[in-house]
Amino acid sequence: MAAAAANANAAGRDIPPQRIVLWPHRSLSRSGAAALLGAVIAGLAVPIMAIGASPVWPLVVPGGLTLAGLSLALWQNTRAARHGEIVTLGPQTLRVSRWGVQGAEPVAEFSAYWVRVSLESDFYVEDRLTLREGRRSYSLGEFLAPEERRALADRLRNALAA
Amino acid sequence: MATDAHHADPKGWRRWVLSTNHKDIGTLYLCFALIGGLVGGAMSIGLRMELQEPGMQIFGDPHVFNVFTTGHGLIMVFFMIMPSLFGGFGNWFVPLMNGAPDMAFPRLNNFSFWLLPPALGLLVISLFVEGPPGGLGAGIGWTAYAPLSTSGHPGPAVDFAILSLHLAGASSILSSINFITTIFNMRAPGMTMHKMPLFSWSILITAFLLLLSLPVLAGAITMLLTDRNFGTTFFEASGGGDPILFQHLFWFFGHPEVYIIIIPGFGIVSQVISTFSKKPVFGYLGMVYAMVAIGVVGFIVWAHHMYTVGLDVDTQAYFVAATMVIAVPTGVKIFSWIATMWGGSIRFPAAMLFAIGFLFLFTVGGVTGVVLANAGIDRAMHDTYYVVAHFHYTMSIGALFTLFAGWYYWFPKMSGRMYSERLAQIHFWLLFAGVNLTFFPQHFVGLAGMPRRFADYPDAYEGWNFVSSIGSYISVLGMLVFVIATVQAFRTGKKAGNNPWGEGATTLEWSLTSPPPVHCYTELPRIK
Repeated sequence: MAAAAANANAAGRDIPPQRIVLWPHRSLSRSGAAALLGAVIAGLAVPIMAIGASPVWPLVVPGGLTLAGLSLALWQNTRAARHGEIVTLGPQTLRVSRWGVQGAEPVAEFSAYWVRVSLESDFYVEDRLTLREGRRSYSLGEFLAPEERRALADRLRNALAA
Repeated sequence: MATDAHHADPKGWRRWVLSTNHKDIGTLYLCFALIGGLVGGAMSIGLRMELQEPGMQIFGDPHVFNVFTTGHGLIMVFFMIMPSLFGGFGNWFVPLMNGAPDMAFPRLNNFSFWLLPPALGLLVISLFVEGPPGGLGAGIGWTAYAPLSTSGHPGPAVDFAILSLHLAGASSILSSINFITTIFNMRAPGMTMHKMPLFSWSILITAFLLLLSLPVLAGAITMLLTDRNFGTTFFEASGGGDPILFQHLFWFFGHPEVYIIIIPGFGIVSQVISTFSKKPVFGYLGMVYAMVAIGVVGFIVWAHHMYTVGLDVDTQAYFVAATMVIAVPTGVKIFSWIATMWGGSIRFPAAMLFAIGFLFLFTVGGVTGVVLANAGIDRAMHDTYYVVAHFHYTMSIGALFTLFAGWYYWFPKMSGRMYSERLAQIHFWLLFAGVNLTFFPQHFVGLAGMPRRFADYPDAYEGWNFVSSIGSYISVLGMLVFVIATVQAFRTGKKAGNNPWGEGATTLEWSLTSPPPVHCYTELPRIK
């Protein structure tokens, strides 16, 4: 549940647009995944080396399948986290896009003057960050931690007030 | 524009058959383990009824006794203890303790579970088809040594048993991949590895043991299958093969399997003792790395099961030394549990009694394990009831007591109901007396030379065998009380609060309602 912010290249006139990229949390780093797979390969190699000259294919096949399964699982789980939301705040508009492995698509656009940023708690979610304009609303950053949503709300309010 | 995070949840049979919710799948594992335990337990009572007196009592043919021994072993290992401790409690509590919304692959989780009922079905079918010439069922023991399992059992019973193990193994490998991915990649922010609860650590280590050992079992039983049906001679000396190779491969899986069974129990006992002593567990890092050490060393001691096959002296010396080393991290754990209780504000509800009962049982089993680690002594004890007593104290009743510790500890969280403490305590004392009466005398008959896997025995062994059988009946009585306590808790138990155990229970699951909502952590908690 990391949140990152980056100022995009200047595209506006008076106030440059701000771009905030949000993505879900994953606790395993790339080097951690490599170390994990290395350890599993070493572990699977022990019995194959131990039986030496004896026929090893009956061990290599299930061991290989297991290794492939674990690699696929780690890749798929990390890939599933490669999506998130992009908030682009320009002089007139606040635009939210969802991004994933197939690129970004806009999902909501609000007037930068009229949009309100609110934090609301319910049974399921503490401090749900909601963008509202009239009867329209959008729940932003549901995959973030409450503290991160609170920080994001402060940041958006300051940016909108500027 | 508003997004709705709460989608409809399946009801009725769809909730269970098509479930992708980790808590429902955990419940399925626990129910399945209950069925496995009833079948495997009934078989063990059949064995004790047969052994109550010398001569043949209830089995007309000694082969049937061997079939029951095989079925009891396989069912208890693959269809009772593993599904309950690893599949049941693991699925229920690893995501909750780590702050993950669910398992990494919920559909795979469902698939892993639903591989188990057909696996059990194949094993049951093996009881009713031909094994040896003129006999039904596979009487090969859980070890399935060749050539007893090849030329000794030409009928299809062994093939069904092998296919059953293939399915159960595939289920466990898929579960392990799911647990490893979940624990490594989906922990909540702030939940570093060294803050992770010991139960989560225990499931992670168990998943690794399964991942590394089960492919070897799969390979070994595939070789067995091709030897039986396709003319290969991996384990047939007349064709250039080696029957001892099967033993090496089997025990490369079989010894870690002992730890696969008991390490989740270590995690449960750590949670329970810490909670009811109102103290953090003593030496957290020592406990973690003791489990890691047990897991690692558990992979390099397999041949201590094979001292009698003709290993050379140097090899035996290595396996004796390596096996002895396991006593060190095991001792670290036992002493750390005792140190956790030391000076604590201890309470003794049923969960704590079962945890302390486990400490006694596992220590007895561990001490006899050190005895059996010696190749010279083991040569005399090999395949006697001393070995039966040893492994039942560790991986059977030891694991069973951790299972009940976990059951009574987490029952209020899982069901939202409190159980009757009085009935639970009666359950404990009956079971504790029963299992000790069953298995402690087996040390004596084993020392006196009584061999295992025989339906009949000389009159000299009659006394302690009678006591042992009476003990098993008392254990059945204890299990009846367990069933009554569980039914009563579901029917009339008081509603449980979020944390019925008070300030000692500090892990994340106790911050949720009892029972937890269908979807937990729709937002991830941050661990400080």
